[in-house]
Amino acid sequence: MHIPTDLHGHTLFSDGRATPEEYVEFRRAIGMRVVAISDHDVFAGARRGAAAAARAGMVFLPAAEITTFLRFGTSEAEQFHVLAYFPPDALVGAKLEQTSLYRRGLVVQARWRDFVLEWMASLSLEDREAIDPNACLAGLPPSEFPALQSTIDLIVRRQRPLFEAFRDHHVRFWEDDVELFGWTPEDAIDAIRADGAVDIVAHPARYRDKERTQSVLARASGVEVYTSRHKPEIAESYRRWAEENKKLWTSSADDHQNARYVRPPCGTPVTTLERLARRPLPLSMIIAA
Amino acid sequence: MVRIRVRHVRAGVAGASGLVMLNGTALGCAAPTSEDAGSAESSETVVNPGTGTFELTPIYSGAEYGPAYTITTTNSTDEFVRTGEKIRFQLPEWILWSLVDEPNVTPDVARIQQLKITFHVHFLRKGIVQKTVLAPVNSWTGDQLWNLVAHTNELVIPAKIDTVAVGVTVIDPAATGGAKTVEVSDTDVVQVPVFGGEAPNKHVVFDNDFSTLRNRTIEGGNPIAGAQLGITYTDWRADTVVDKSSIDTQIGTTQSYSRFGLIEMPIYGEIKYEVSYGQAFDGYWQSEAPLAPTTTSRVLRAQGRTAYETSLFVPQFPHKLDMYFHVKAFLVVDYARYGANVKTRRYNQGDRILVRERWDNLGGNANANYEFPIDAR
Repeated sequence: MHIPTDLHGHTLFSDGRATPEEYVEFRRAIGMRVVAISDHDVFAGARRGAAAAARAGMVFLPAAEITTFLRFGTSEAEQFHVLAYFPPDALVGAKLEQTSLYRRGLVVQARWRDFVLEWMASLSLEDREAIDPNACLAGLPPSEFPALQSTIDLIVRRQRPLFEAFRDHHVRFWEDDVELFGWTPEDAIDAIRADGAVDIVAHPARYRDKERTQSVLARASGVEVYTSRHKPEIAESYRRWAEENKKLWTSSADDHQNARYVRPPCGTPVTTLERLARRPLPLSMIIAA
Repeated sequence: MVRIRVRHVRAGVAGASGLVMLNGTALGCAAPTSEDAGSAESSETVVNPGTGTFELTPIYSGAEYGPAYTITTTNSTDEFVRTGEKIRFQLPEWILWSLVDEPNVTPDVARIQQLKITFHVHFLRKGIVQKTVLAPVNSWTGDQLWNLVAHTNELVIPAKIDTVAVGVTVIDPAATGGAKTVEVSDTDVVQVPVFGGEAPNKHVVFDNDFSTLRNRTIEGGNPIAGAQLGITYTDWRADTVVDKSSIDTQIGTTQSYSRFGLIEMPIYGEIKYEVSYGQAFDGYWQSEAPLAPTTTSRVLRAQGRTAYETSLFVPQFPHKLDMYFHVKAFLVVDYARYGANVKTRRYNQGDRILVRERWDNLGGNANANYEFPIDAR
């Protein structure tokens, strides 16, 4: 039994364009029943997304796509993403805010702010004033500072010639910060489990190091099977692998709102969802599916 | 929105968030009556109003867009609040501590439980306060910060009420620099609509539970002869009836910029609805008439959604009401926000194209309409 889901996608709190409310509303309108916002490393949209989902009668999972590296700091370094899913009741009281992953997300937001401001400080006065004419960016707290896509939009809107320079520069945010991102997928899996969340390897076909990917998958709780980044035959092979190895598997889109939305061809198994949500799904939802 | 005047002592120090800091001084309320929580008043209008909790919840979109807080209601019945419902107010620690705003202090359970918290509950009818209840917090659940929640006693929503407005006062006797009072004014909190207080007038809502279409008389029972009947048709029901997700809403492409470089991404138009209705009392059909779109529906509690509404007068002696709806979906074309970056256009700027048209009657069958028996007054 599969339930229509989208458990991996981004909002304006990372490199997406939608508000959490728009993100949830879009998925409601196409019949999704269980939804997660999984911004890169931060949970900033979780409470807004959860409120929107509650109004629509949907189950919402607070989540984040955790950035790790294979061979960090080497010429063969490659990002590797692990999705962390908390159950809905992490948003009851302040449980989510007390997790180490949430707090790490706050640090990521603060470092991003510093990173952008440092880059701007390296610009000519003319360019700096063009991007930030009222010099207000430095006064914004990390939680209100424009995230990646919003920063790009700001630069393009106000000083288009700097776009390429910023795009080339921005990758250093991850590649230079060993404290935040110099951990391995295995480290992240341990941290996710220590927080009481469930770890799912994001779009496994994307990684160049296939052998290492297989090793991480063997350790992980689950794998993202259906995603816009997987061709159908690749998705089917991961689904077979997950079912043979008794792993959780999920169905998502990895939407950034910068291309036509690719609806997952299949839902996520009820057993996976009940493990992620740590509670039975509403019977009406299962019957409807 | 009707605002209830709350007299702030030293209100001049109000911050942009709408919080007013007072130094341990009491505040007065201009509402006509006031009494302690716990008194009960039965409703004459709703048979089973149930129980519920009202929780103060921040609105994260920011105070510049309106009230800074809303009330999340959880009811034993459904999403609607009715007269006669027994309600408790509650505040979780994480919101409470954010109100106290002591950034250099690490709280513990004992420190939180020292706070003196009072909800100011105003019951309104047609914008006029009918009764005010002060509901102090007098119990706590949870034994750790993450699950600590403050609760009031139960109180009953009186009869003939259509709205509840809520404010909160928190006195922190252990605040840095001396005791202080923090007030969330009722004008900073979205009001809660109440149904059942306008009897014999009733409301019928036509909405959906995902793909299942449904209609409900919020006050229960049938429409009443000689009274008004409010009709609300929801945007999400219209989505379902026209199968919105199957409509191609792409209107062109635009040059865009992302961390992956230059991309050409699709531009989507917006679907707008025109919803009209037909109605007949005892088989006498009237001309189809439009429902008025509103973004301030009491039934939907606004929430960024659109409802299509009207109010019918039910004559004195009919036996039944038949209704159907007619939904037209238009694709609205607007390239303006993409400026010179637009690469391809499928339509002309400003076009409004009818892309789907559906009749919504029972089972989608002609001459099978939604039927409501009418009760005598």
